[in-house]
Amino acid sequence: MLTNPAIPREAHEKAQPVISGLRDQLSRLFDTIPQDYTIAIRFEAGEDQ
Amino acid sequence: MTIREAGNRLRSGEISVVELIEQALQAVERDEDLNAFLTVTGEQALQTARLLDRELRNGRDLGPLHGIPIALKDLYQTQGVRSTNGSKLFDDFVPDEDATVVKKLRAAGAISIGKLNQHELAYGITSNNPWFGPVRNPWRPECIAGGSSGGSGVAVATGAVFCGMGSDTGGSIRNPAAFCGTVGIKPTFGRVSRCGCFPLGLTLDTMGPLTRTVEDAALIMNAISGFDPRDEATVDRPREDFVPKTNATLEHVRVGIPENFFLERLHPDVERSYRMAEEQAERLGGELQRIGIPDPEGLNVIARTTLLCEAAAVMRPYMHRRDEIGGDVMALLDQGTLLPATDYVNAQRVRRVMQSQWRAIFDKVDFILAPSAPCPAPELGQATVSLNGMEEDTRLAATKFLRGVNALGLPALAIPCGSSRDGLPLGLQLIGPAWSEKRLFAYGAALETAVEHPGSPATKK
Repeated sequence: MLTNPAIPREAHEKAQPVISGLRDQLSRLFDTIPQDYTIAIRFEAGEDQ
Repeated sequence: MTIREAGNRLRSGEISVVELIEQALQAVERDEDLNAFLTVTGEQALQTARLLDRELRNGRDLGPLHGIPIALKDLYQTQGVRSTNGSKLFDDFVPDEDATVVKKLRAAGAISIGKLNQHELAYGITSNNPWFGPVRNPWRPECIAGGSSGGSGVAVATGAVFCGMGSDTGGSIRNPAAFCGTVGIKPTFGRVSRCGCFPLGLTLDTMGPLTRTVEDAALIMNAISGFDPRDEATVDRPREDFVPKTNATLEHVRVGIPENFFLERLHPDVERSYRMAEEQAERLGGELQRIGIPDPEGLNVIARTTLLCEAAAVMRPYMHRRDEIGGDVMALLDQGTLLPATDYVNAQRVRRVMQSQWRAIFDKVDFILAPSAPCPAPELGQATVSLNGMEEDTRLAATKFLRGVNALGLPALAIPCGSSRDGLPLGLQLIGPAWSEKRLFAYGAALETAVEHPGSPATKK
């Protein structure tokens, strides 16, 4: 179970089923990502100075 | 009356800016039970109106928005005027500077008459605000106005203002446009500056207008679009005139009709309204093409994950003030706080793949015609909606056709299209490729003349 000390126990219990459901759906999508740099996270070093 | 018609009457001397503002303020008072406004800046507006009347008489004309009454969702920061973002957390926040969009609208001559009620922190679609009271639907006050820009939809639908500025992160312009019977444009991500607006979804938020006509929305977009170094998402592009030509048609326009998802589990009145629009699109010369939407449920999951994480990140400094955040919003912030960073990272990678899949769709069609909402506005407090015998969560149902467009960064123009048997307005959206707002306005202007308009809501005498 994912936890965060800043969140009260009741709120955790309320959030868990929603997050579990979402993460189940995400895992299907994540299986399709190539494990290389083909689709990475976009970041740029900025322009010439 | 449209913006152009108001402008003609101002310039002919038939009406003054002061009279326009007085009429707007009277309409606000008439419909105050709908709770669209949080702050009314009547005196300021009248002062500006007197100045703008003098300017017009002296030949200084600021353009089509000169003297036009508008209102601003309370997430737009306004100098010297309380700006709450619909939240108790910012109940007494008075900014010392206008948001960029507000500055641009003032420079164009538009006059804000006040700040509009909204869903708390712009994080929901009911505008049932726990701190400031619900925004009520002007067609049936026991129903929601939609959200999060509910006040914007009401202020425009009731005729109080020509433009209610809103924001769209997961449908928050298009949803109230549908539920209140107005036009609304969710621009391309990066088209309009968000500097001076309270953030929610850092890579999802867009700022845009709700209006009564497509041309009015285009006039507002002319004033507010453009690069701003203070919003790093904005893109430096050549200036465009978004106003559509008259006698617009859909001749040779490839109209995408979805084969899946957007036309599944619709309220019968929404289906009827959509099919009517489809017929009209063809009658206007459009070439209808059936298209498959790639993994729309997956796109919605990516959109939800992105928003949950970004909103929780943005709201991190306030998370300890749990008693000052409404239950529905707090639940979403907790969910976002608990999602692992790895899920956010991988969701962004999937998002890029999906953007590429949608670019391929727009090689085949010029825009996609879809409903904005699967049903008319539900009642205040209604937790689920029934669609083809299945109960769906109200928030998820109301956003399921909308939030994916935010995840993709694409523009979408919402137009009204007919009414339900109960007399509630219904709406469509025209989804286009990135940076296609000018074409969307042209297509929307053509369809607007052909589809049934819900008219104006009955108002108290």
